[in-house]
Amino acid sequence: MKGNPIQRVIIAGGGTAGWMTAAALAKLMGNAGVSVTLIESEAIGTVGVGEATIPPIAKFNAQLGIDEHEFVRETQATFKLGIEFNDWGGLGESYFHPFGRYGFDLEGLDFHQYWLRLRELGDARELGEYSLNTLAAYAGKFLKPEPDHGQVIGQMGYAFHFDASLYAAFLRRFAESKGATRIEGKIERVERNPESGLIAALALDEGRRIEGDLFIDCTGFRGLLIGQAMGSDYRDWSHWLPCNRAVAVACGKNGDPLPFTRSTAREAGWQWRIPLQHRTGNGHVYCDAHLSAERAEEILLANLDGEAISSPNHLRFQTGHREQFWAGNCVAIGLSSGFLEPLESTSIHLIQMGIAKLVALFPGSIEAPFERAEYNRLMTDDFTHVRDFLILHYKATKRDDAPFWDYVREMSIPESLKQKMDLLRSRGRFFKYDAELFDLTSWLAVAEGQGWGPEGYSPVANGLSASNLSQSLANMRAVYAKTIDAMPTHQAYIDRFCKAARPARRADAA
Amino acid sequence: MSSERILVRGSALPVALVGAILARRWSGKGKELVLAPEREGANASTVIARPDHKNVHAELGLAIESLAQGAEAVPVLAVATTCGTGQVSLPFSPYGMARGGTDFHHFWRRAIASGEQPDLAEFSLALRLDRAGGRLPLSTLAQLPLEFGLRMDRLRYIEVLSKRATSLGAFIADDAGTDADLIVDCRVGSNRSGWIEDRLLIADENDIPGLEWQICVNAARRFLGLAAKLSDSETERREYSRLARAESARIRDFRALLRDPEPRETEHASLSRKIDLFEACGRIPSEDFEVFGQPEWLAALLARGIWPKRYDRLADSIPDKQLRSWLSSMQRQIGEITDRSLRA
Ligand SMILES: Cc1cc2nc3c(=O)[nH]c(=O)nc-3n(C[C@H](O)[C@H](O)[C@H](O)COP(=O)(O)OP(=O)(O)OC[C@H]3O[C@@H](n4cnc5c(N)ncnc54)[C@H](O)[C@@H]3O)c2cc1C
Repeated sequence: MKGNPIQRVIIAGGGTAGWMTAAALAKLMGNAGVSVTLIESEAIGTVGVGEATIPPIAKFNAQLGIDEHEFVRETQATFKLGIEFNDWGGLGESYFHPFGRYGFDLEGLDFHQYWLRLRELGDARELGEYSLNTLAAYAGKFLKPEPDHGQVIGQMGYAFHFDASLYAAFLRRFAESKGATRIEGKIERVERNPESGLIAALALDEGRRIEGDLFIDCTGFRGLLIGQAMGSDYRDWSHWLPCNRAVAVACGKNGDPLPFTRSTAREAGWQWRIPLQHRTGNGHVYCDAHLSAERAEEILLANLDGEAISSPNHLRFQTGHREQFWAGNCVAIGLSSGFLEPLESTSIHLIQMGIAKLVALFPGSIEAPFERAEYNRLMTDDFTHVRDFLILHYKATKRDDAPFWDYVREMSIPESLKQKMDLLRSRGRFFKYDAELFDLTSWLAVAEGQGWGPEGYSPVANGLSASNLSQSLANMRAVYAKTIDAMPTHQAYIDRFCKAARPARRADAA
Repeated sequence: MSSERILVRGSALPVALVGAILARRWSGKGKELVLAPEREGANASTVIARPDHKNVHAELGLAIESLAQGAEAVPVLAVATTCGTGQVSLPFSPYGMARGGTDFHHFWRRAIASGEQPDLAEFSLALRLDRAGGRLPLSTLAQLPLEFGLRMDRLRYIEVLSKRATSLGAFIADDAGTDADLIVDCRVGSNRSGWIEDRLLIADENDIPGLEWQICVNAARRFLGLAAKLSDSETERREYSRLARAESARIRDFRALLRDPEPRETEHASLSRKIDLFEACGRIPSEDFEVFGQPEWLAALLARGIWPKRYDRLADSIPDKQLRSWLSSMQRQIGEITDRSLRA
């Protein structure tokens, strides 16, 4: 493009966000005359806790041309079929939020409407019995669906658990091979043009100065460019999602890794367990108004599968997002742009969304008001949709055993969510916004799993006779059972296609 | 009343279409569906079904071949309508071919930036075939990467649909009164849509070919997606109306773009966003519940003289020479298919 002034993209920060952005821009924009430079400081380090993902990440890797098995091998990854939620609806209760979908639609009507009808007729089988993902997860099985595997395996959705620092290193190698340049150094000052207010350069230690046209802020919670320099305010959502701290620790693995994340509700938050090939990641997300850091750590350490192999890492965060994700010539991606607690593993996905939108709206010149406005609108929508889904988990609880749960159960919720919850509760109805990430399966899994409904079903489901219905659903169960039988175990699949090398001792304790 | 009764009344085509779709689901014990169509005007001629017809008719068990026979259905690749600057053809399929995830029109815009003057319509197989007036047999059409609608004889299509509705259990009544749990009102020229107490209003708008058909289909599906016990549906009613409002807003924007004297001065943020962003960088942002496809928006924007100032940077990823040869071979191929269709 002749006379286009955006030639130099400077990425500040080399955590997951920085290297994902660098990899994508180097690969996709490199041929279009854009140079990519990333600045990071080993002295500052990364958060390093983002380890669980959701299915769209496979698309990101595929777009970059990354071989999936190689990626799994290099990052000590395992496959993830969904999340098990314990003690969320009520103490002692458990459910599974699967990727993929439930059953097969019949006569054009959503499967779950038939399942609801059958339940009303007295059949107590759970929704999970019609989810290939749920069945495979609990059987410890996995098979990557391929186009010629047919309709049943085609229902399987999967993502990964991986070691965040290995993923960043993997992407770094990739980005550098595509022409991205890395500069080691600490950003000390952000220089802005006094007239336009735009960022002109980043001043590093040792008097170095890096100029650019477009700056991507991937400096994590600090938001060095977007917040401190460009003054983009933070929209706080902690009244709806009050957890604001976490403590993370790695432990040794206990047997073969299971292909799912576990989330167990605790007295003022919840604990995650993420199985990798070489270790298990654990963390406790909590609200400091209801629990001290010492107690949170104690609860975490008392509930590990194996011996702790790292020291507990305490983190603080604030739920919400920047009012302007893109301000002037600065785009915030990753933690600098906002944060929603990792209950549904959405942060890396939001990074991916930020990158995809940036590529789609890549500005022609330094001032790009319309592209910027659209980017901000779309990212705000993405954050809002995810926020509502996360709040559902808290609002739809029956727990009344601790003040934290009383608060979230009783709190008022956004109108957009209220309407969705009402519809789900009455007859399992759901309308997805075009850009909404979580679909019917997800909303249904959580609502049903936490006892929020649905209470009735669509009368359209009466179109099948009871005996026909019962037979159809029995056939589905049989098909799923046969498919699961034929699948390899998760560990066998890893051993065969993507087993990682044993890590050096230091990485083991990451 | 022991069973739940729905009465669908109003213009004949919407009643038959909505009636047939509802009859597929609203049937059996405890359910009654009554259709009360008004007489179709003497000048009734054709109806256009948008590309969604494939799903709708498949659900109704109406094969395209039987519609060809029973309702004189012929494929339509684009529809013509009036706009502020004359007439515009709105293709159902994308222009050219996307490359590496980047829409074709960015490459076309790049060719213009480097001094060439190709007409975008030359890269639309749909528009070329439509203009040439060639007839592609359905079997050939199915093999091409083309979305198509159907143009049908209105009265015969009504007949086909009414027959289907009755075979699925609906009743047709001349004088059905107003005794029903829900009255579905299909009104020509009305622009109110929504579900208010026991009235479901379907605005039967007919000023863009295919719109009337799509509005009825969407309304019937939306209702079925929410249908519950009719007397106790407050949440469902609110949701139906919210979705119907969103749909009306999308149609309103498209109509304003086509016909407002100064579409740039629109007071609707969703339309100004489309215009501004397209003008700035050639992207057409999509809102929730769009009714018209991207190719139709693109055709309408260009017809109103709204041009992208620049193209997507990703379109720079191929060298000039390769771009030129790609464009000319695409143009040639489209020309060949068009010629073949004229001979068919
Ligand atoms: C408790 C917790 C659990 C999480 N779990 C998940 C999960 O399961 N799944 C998921 O998807 N996401 C999860 N996340 C989010 C995930 O960790 C982040 O989205 C991801 O790591 C991206 O972080 P980042 O790159 O934006 O920031 P960081 O990792 O903080 O990286 C910041 C970078 O900026 C650099 N930097 C900062 N200041 C300077 C400076 N002055 N000069 C030079 N360089 C500088 C640092 O060196 C570093 O390279 C979790 C987050 C938390 C807090």
